[in-house]
Amino acid sequence: MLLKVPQPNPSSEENRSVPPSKYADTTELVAAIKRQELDALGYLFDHYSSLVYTLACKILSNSQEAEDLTQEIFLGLWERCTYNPSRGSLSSFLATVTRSRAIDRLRMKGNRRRIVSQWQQSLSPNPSPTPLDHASQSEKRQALQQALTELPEEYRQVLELSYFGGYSQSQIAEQLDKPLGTVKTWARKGLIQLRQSLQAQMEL
Amino acid sequence: MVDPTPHNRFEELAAGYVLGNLDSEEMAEFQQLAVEDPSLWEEVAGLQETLDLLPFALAESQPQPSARQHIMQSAAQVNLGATPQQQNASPNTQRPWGKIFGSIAVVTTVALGLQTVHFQQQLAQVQQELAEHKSRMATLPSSSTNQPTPRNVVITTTDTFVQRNWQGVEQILVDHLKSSKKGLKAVDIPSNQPMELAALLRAQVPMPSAMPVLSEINSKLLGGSICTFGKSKGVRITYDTVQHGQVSFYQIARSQKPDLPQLTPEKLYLAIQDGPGGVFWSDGEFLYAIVSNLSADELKELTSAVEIVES
Repeated sequence: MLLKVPQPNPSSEENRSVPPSKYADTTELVAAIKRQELDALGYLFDHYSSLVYTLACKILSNSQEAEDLTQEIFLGLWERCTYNPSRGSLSSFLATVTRSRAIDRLRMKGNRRRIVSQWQQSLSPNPSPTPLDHASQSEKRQALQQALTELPEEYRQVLELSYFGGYSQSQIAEQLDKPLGTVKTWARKGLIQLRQSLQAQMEL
Repeated sequence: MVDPTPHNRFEELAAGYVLGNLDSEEMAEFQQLAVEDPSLWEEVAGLQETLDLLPFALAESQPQPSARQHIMQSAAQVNLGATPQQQNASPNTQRPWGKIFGSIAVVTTVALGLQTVHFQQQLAQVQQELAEHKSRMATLPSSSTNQPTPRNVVITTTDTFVQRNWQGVEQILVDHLKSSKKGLKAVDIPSNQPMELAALLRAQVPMPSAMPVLSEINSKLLGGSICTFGKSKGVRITYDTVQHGQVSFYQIARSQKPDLPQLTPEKLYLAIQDGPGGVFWSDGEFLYAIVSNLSADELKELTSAVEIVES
């Protein structure tokens, strides 16, 4: 199985396979964090800081701010861990939190400097030259890259502007000079097709 | 545009929900579907996870090696300095509800320069009265309180009237009182980031892509919780104000039950003596309420700080 397509199932393969033997699953990892075991925080950082930092860098376009945000997120989890394994994977939770906080930061600064042309090539369907050191995340990356190659360009662009740019659909419609209904449809179809493609790979 | 195939429509609505791009009609359809078929939430969860895979398509980068050391040191310091800080509700919020509703009374309308409308008859008359004032009402004045034309309505009435006709108002005010007593414990999802909170709440209940937040500088966002009023689901977003304690901001899906005044985008005050007051309004799809122990004047000021955040 290449990729566990996401269901909020605590016994899912992803949740079992992400942490190493020290933590049988993410539930144990979270429990250790809540018990304030520093080793657990170290483990969490080692395995997920790349995800958080990469996403923060992408949205904020500033490595120092991205690092500040990365620290804020991990320390926030340490002080009050709000992740619930029954509601989805840890990486999804971290991606949600990172994205939201990064976009909040952009909004607080009133910084919406990005333009569409800067976004067009960043979701590259080519595999990253740097493999993840974690099997599960590496599999995700591989499967996602494959799925992105199958996605029409306009779907990918709208998803990217929405997800990484934090733009509303009406803002995207304005920037792309397309009707709002078209942009909404592209985003929805893009997401659905992405999932279907990932599911197809899972069944291979 | 509507896909006639049920599963495709199901999928499309779930995708729109995850992306936050459902319009009001679609949101209503989504809510209906979610009630009829709870597996819609599984679809939502799967699509959300798919969306959250997008960061894996980026070229991977790592924080500076010193970042890990800094975090571990900070975490160790947090441990050393940690002391349980349970916030208790202030004693003056712990009033028997019956007493409070027994004392629904006039708020300081002179200070506010607002029109007071006394409703002592039937609900239908109240609604008619509201309709008559609708054309004269507008959103809250931002600064001057010396408006020659009344722009808001303050309703004063009896506890019996409210309990009989507007049970929903009672439920919302009671919910605020209970959560005030619990303090931080009443917050299921702690967060001081509006976008993050909206995303986490949306994973659990239908919410529009635009979430109203308080932008008032002296109010601190503590987090949010899911709450249910009769058949309506909603969220309670909790703020802490420097001088006046907790403020609860509600966003509730409209429905027949519980009964609430026929609200419009104009703000409606329902205030009670020695207890919390609320500002209520609706955008047609959702009902909004800001409830606190602030004075009516302060509540008005706070309500003017509502800002819509697209998430």
